[in-house]
Amino acid sequence: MPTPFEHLAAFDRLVHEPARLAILTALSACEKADFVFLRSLTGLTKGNLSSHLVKLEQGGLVAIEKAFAGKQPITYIALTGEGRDVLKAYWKRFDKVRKGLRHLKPLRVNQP
Amino acid sequence: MNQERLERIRLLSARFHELQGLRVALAGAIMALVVGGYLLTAPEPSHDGAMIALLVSFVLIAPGVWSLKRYYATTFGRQVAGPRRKPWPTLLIWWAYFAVAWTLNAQFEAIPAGAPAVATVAFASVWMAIRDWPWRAYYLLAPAAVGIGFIASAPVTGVLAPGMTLGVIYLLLGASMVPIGLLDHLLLVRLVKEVREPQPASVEIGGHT
Repeated sequence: MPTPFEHLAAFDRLVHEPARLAILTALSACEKADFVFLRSLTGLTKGNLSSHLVKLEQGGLVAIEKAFAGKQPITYIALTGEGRDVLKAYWKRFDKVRKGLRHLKPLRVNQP
Repeated sequence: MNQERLERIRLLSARFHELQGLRVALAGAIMALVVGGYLLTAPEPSHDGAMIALLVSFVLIAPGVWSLKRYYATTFGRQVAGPRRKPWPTLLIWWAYFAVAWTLNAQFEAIPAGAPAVATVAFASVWMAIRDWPWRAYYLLAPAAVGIGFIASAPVTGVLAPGMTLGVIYLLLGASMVPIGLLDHLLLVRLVKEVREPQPASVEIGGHT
């Protein structure tokens, strides 16, 4: 059975990064959201959010769709099926780490 | 990453449309003003008159709500909560609801038209308060307002004339929607502020910060 540290090492780095985790969490509670909404929630700058979204899209976790509201262009971002599965697996692993750490005993160091 | 922050992001994303409370506050204020105006000016207020005043308030509410929808879209962004549902289950529920309300009105003279709708709003508010406890406990204001209206119009207390019951309940319900909506909006603003990640200070090339 893997130790909590082995679980930690196996975390998906694409998901584990705090800003990307916040984006994925926001998208997991809805069908799709636009760029402004994700900026409001994450507080990221336009450039940072764009670069994170590109990485997530390249990883197949989100899909980006261009639409129009009247004449105004809107960029919608949605979690893909794979994205939902990966996020679910991430939280499962996260729970295992948390439970594992709870059972760890403090290391005793012998005094010379 | 703070897990509490992620939970708040999830809550915010899941309840984004519900937390756009200025729409509820505006609807409540217009409803209270129109129905209240009717109760004050009508020589003999009736349930039918209250229903007409309510319908008039809906017409006045629509453009304001539409403008506020645009405000939320430009300020906080757009979000689609769930996949488009098939219309027939919703139509079926509405049909069943009207059938039950019509039967109640026809069978019991004491239940005026519009009372089942008020009761539904009160139950829905209790459910929302319990579902999002303690975040949105203020939703209990709506059933409290309806309860006060019913108690005031009960034959035992006799505070209100029988024809005024529905009008007063609409007035109280509308008035209770104003703080509910404002508190929802404040919760939205507070949650957005709390979940925003602190931005690192910008560092300029050349050693100046």
